[in-house]
Amino acid sequence: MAEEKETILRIRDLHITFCSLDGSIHAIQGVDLDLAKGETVALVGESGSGKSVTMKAVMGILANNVSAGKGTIEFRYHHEDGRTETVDILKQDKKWIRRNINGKRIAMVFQDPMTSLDPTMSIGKQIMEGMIWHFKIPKQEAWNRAVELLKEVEMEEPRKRMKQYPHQLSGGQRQRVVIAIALACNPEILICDEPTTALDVTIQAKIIELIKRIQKERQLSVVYITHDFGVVAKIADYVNVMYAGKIVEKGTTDEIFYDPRHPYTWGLLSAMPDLDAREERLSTIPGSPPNLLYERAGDAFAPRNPYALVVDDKVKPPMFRITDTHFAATWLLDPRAPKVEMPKQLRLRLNRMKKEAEEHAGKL
Amino acid sequence: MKIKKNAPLTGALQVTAPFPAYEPVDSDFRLKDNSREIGRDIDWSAPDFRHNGAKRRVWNASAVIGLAVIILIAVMAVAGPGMNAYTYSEQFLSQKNFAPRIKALERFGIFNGDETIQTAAGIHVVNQYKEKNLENVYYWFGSDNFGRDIWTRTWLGTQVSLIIAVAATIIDMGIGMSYGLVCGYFGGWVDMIMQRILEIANGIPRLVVVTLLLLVLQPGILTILIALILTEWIGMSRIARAKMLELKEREFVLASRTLGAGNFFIIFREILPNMIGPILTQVMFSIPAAIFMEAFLSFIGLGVPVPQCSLGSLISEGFNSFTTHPYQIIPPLVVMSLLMLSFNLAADGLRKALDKRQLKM
Amino acid sequence: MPVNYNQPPLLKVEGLRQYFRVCASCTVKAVEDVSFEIYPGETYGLVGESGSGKSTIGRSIIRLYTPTDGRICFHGMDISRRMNPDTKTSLHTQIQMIFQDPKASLNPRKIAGDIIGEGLDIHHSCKSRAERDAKVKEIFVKVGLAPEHVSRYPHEFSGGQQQRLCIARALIMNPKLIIADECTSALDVSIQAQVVNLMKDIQEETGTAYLFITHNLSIVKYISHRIGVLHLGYLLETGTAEEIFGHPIHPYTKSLLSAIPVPNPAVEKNRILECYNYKTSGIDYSKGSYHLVEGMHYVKCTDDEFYKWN
Repeated sequence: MAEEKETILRIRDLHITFCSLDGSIHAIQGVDLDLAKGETVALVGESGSGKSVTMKAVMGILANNVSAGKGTIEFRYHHEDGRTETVDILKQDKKWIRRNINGKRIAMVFQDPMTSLDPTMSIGKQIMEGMIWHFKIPKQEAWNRAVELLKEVEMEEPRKRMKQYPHQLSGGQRQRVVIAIALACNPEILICDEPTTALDVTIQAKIIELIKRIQKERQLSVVYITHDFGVVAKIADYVNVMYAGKIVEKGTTDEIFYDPRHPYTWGLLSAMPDLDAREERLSTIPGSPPNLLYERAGDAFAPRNPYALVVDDKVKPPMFRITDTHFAATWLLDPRAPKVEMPKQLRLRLNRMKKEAEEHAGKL
Repeated sequence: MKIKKNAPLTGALQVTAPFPAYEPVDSDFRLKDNSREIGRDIDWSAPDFRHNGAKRRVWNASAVIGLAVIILIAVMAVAGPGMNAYTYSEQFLSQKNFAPRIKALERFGIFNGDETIQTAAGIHVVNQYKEKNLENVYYWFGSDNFGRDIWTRTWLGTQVSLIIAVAATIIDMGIGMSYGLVCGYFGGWVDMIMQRILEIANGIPRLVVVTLLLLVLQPGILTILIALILTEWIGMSRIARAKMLELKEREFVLASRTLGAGNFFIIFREILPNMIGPILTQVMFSIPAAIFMEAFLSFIGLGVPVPQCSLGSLISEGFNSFTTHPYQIIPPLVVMSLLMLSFNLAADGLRKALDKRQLKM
Repeated sequence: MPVNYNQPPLLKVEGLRQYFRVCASCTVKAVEDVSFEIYPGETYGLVGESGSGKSTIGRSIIRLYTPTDGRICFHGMDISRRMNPDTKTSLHTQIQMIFQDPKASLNPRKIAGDIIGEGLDIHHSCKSRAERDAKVKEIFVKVGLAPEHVSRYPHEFSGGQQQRLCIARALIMNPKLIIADECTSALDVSIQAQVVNLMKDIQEETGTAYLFITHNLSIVKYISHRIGVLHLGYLLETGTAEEIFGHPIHPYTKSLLSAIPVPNPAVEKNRILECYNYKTSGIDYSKGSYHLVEGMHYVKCTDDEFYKWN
């Protein structure tokens, strides 16, 4: 397993507060995250859970109305000559981050390909821009590299595409260009912020395959932000489930899918319709995601949690250890808590999936 | 309090735990019976606009100063003429071209009726009140070439200017807005024809329109009003049309159409409330333009007839004696400048406040 | 709730074509010769990717666009040509629509009660103000919102609550058919499930039919009785949910179904996708007719293709 895998990104106790017209929002409330080399980590959550904000803090591109921050984001990277260096991104000013991190060592792919590209610049220019700015490569060489990149992202007729403009491409093609731009400076970490949500399902599948392939070839570490568990199943090694600015459960993909322990994870998995069984009723998580302006003592998920305990109203649960890699922040795992089983429908579904997995493994 | 731009994230204010620490006891570990409250959708709502800090931000500095000055001037325009015994048209030919004299400020050496006159023989200080032995006569802003009180005439002129400007703007808003809304909503050949008419109307210079009107109608307040109405509606209609084009494809408009709402219901009850902001701002910006237009017309002699006065005609009269009696032009000039400035400030403040609210929504 | 297929259909779409003239030389052909039926109390799921014409079909039925060709019959009345006032009223009260973005489909300057009561106000369905207010409050409770929130503005509700408001607005007119145009796409996963459950409950209670337009294949299987698959404006395959998902015939349907991510890591990580490219597939959608596979399952193809795929 993760024996000698080098941890290249380590986030510890991250807190971020924004000040808005209506008051301060404690958007991130203590996030711990690890990313090892060559690994794909998924960050799953609904809107308002803070997954994008966490990664934007890593990139140093948070909005201007941040009013307080705490914690460390340690990034371990390699210089050109092979030396490694570890730096705390939160302690650096934006200029340093822009020169040394953005695009060069950590690259980001955003959600909407329609607005991620500059409509007035040709595709080739946009891919070459980063290379020229970071590495001062001469234009002809940058051009050749850009064509190679377009081939790598499986774009047809790459030379022709270099001169085209974004409005001449389809959504899926634009997202491929965005990935090419992200890869232009050979980064070590690729952060994908819901890159396929705005795309059709067939294009989505192709883009995910592309990211998987690129990751394997370049030994990239990928952080994949999404709300779709199907995508997580396909691409992730390690899963973090976020709710209201905290990570509520984390573990390997197998652990989260076959043995989830947090009621929120149960709710999310149950809320997906099961394609193989005819359900009479889709089980849902009642209520809406919380408004972070009104922070409450105790567990943020308690108002929507059918398995809430009295202590959930009084104090936030710590992270409980289930295995070396599997952790969940719920009071249900405390030895004093009553034994609670996951909903029956979910249990049946997971058993069925485990059986399918075993058959599949047997076939291979 | 925000972190300074480009500064590192940490090293600023530390985040403190908002709630006191609590050590759970055994009895806390039992299932909460929340089956009833969990079914209800917890109150998510965004903070209500009506009672929170956002409302405070409507009142920014520009809006406050601008509105205060407008109100002050309006009050003076109504109350000013009645504050002394003079009327706007009474002529005391023996008392013409008197300098300003105010009883309360006399002893300080200013506004005591003294005038500095440059003659061929040198600079003299003359006090016509003393020369004519008029101890109890006070002209607060002085008197003009026909012996009329400038104070009364100034405030009456302000009344006339304000009435013309506000009336013209409101009617323009009505005509221009409706025109723009209709041609923006219907589009197609309706829009095309109406826009061509608009372009033709826009092409005719204002001065030509006014001059032609004066040939037909008597000079007077009504004529100027009509002249302004015929020329100022174009700006408003363009804004209304642009906003309408933006809003008419929005989904709430489609939803109303699927419910069977008629066209005019949609235009005036659905879409119009969404554009009140820019329209109100445009109205506020139009008023100083109308004031200036009226002043300009009066200045060149196409305005209100004598003995009626408006700020522009007063400035015109004062202009004639500018080199000999400069005090005559100052009051109407200052009032008009303040009026225009304060309307611009108020409009600017309104625009800023509305922008913020648009962003929030 | 089982649907009675022996009764006459509620909505019958025959040969619908929708072309848009973008400029003098080019016409966008959004919908090509689409025919289907919806029975009372049924949910018909229309699936397709972007550009397949599904939203256009929904909007043509409700006459936001005028159909270029074809016939749409609702309750026996032709609603695709010029309509007399009675037909128009029937259209506006009996067919309702729910849009994709709940924030954009609610007028930000009106309070929730006025937005929902708009249909009643336009058609003067209530004799008094009190009656209308009572109806609005009743609908609020039905969709799971608190009746005290009637005087709030839309931005004071969360996304899921806003979509419930849109459902309430459609529901207050007691329509026979509701066209749901991607109404769950802009919502979070858990809220999607709530909204879909609500729609199912409403169907149980009132017998409303739905035309559920979406690109989310997992939700469409859960909620629909029958499904139609669209691509590039053509209806390629139609049948019950079990038939389409269990036994897809058309290669496009197969590729679409294989692209759905399965939340089973061990299986999903190694699954191979089925690829389909219309340009290189040799299939021409404009040729071909509907062949019956079994039950209510039809597929549009030529005779040769039908024998090849079966």
